[in-house]
Amino acid sequence: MHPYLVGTVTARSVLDAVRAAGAIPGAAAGRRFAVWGESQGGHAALWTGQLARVDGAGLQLVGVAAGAPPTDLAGNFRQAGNANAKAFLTALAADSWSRYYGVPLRLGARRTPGIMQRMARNCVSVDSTPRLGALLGILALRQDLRRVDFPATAPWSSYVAANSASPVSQVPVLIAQARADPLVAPAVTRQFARRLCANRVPVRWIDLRGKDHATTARQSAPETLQWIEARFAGARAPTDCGPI
Amino acid sequence: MRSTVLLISLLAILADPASAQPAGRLIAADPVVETPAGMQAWRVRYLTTDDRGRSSEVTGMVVAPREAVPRQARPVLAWTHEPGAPRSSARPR
Repeated sequence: MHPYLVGTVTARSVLDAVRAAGAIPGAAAGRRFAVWGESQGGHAALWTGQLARVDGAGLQLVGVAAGAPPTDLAGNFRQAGNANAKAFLTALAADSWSRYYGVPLRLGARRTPGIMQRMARNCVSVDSTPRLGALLGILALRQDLRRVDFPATAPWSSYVAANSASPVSQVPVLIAQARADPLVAPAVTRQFARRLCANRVPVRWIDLRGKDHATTARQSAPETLQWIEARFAGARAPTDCGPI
Repeated sequence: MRSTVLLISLLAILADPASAQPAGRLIAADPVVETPAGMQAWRVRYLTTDDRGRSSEVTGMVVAPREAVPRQARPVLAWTHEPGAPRSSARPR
């Protein structure tokens, strides 16, 4: 199963993957690495940056790149632009956290947990066009969660806090974000970037037109790869902290 | 980026808590037969540890240029995969 939005687990698995890759002779993988991800993968990338210093013994992180990352999770749950996406995000997180932290999935109405589990465990992609069954599930969820403030409801509130990304980093950060992303609210990402800037992190901000969440990484790939290459080369990291 | 090792961490947990194994230990690296031209790849299984000290076996993929092993180790780009995407390892119920 995939631990969804569990920062420490995803970050450690990335650090351990870099270590494991080093054990394949033909790969000749070194200890210097950059991390890049999109959506929940962007969240994992930011968390890798956060834990690299403590848990990354022997490894050297040079930069963190994130496309449309969930950051301040309370903000993300409340401000997702699209109501379907919001219900889906809540289902994925509640199901994942209930399994990871070993708490019963109690939320909304009596039918709600079942709907959430089915949705989360069928590996529905956030961005694929949902089938009718999934669509009905999403509509039922929206109905059930209408009066639920998920990030303010115990025990979920504590997991929301524990798995939010901190706006600090030892290495330069790149963030790409579509201006009208319906799932990861641009205002939340922008606020996170501003807080990184306030903490003197060099932030490269890539502003993408449109509302396409799923192609954030693809759209920003040329610039991101160039940025990553420059981090490996040891160049001075650019900052967009003024205009963000 | 051609000289970089691309590493894809899939985060699909295969096995339940293994006991006190060193995190980051490579368990298996199976060569992938069909790869893009000039590249080689391995499906890997390795150990990682969560924030409660529980160790699990997870999967990923390592992609590297198909060329002589360089004198200096290659830099690594870790791509953190989305949960919806690795369908082959997801297990619908």
